[in-house]
Amino acid sequence: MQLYGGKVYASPSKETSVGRDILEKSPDHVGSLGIAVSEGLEYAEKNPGYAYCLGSVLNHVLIHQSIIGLETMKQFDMIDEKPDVMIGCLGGGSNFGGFILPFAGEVVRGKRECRFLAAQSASAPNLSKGEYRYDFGDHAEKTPLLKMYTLGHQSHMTPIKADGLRYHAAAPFISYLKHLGHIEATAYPPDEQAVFEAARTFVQVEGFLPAPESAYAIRAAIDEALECKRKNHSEVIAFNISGHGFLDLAAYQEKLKF
Amino acid sequence: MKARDQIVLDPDDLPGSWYNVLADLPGEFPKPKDPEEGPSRLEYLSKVLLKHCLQQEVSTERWIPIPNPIQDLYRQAGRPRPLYRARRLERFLGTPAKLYYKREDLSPTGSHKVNTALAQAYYAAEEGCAGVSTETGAGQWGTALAYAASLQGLKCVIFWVRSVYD
Repeated sequence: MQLYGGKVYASPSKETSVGRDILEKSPDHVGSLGIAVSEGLEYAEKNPGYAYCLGSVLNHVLIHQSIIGLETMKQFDMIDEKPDVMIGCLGGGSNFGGFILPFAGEVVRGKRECRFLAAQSASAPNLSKGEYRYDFGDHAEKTPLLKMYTLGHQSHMTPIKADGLRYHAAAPFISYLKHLGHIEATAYPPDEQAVFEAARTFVQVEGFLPAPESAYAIRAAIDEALECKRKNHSEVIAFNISGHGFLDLAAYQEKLKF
Repeated sequence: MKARDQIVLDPDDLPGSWYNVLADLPGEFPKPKDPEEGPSRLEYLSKVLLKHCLQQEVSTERWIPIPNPIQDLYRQAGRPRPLYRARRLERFLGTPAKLYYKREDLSPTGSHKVNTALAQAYYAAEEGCAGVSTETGAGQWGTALAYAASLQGLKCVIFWVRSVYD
């Protein structure tokens, strides 16, 4: 981030009143995405010429990410194949939404049949265990209320290596489709052993090192493929590798005990 | 004939529009709202978010054209990205299922986050901003926005969740 010229603060930070308030009450606070969102918003509010950019959850972010699914749809058309199930990891829902929404739109319109499976952490099981209700998108209640599957905007979530999945709620688009019964969700234990083992298998047979977040999608895809084996049933499973794992080698070393 | 295991699109096959699922959602999609107490968050958000993004946030158009400069940024960042058949993984698992994976890891910063970072930084420059601010958890989003801001000559301030930063 600094190499690209960015200025980075650990959150909660002393740069914003939100951060200072939290640090006053608990100086060792580990932070959360919800708090970091509040700080980013406050920074843009108090510094003229700055705009706030959000990396997930909001409709426009999922719209931009739809490029993933639109390309994927063209690619399946090229080989005359149709996915039966599409799988992605989900924290706020941007890679999952980008991957599946163009397909989900066709399912909703009755033009396609396909299941959609979100792979999440039991540390932040917003779709699996959350309630569908209006909630804030951030810790300090600076955002409007959005209708989402949520664990509560100030809920505690155990830190995990796949920290990009540790967000209290799922994007309104995704939540609405879940509410309508179009999306399934599964959550893996916070020790992440099953997930890191799936990543090890993937890197050894396919050769590419996934981000810990993407390893959740791989775990779910492997489980789905093994279920097909048990039932002796063939289906087409598509999953999204949302990122690479070269920034996460220390996490791999710790989890796989090298 | 040997089946192809890498399904690759030409740069010219890059989709020219984004897809907005809002156009296809049945029933009444619940709109954002203000809490009963305190200042208006909807007004607040409209001051700190980019105008283009706010318009897209409420758009009911199914297809939203991708501006040509953003299409060029996407191609420069390596789009379209390939879809791979996981034939070795299928053999390893001994499954009759066919597995395919999309390679969003093949991005300049290593994640799918560049897809929206490039768009948002482009709009920020269009709207005359000096800089952008944001949050990041694992670090992928912060890195993607710093990259995209750098290409536009914008400053970028990032609040990084401490449990990961440390």
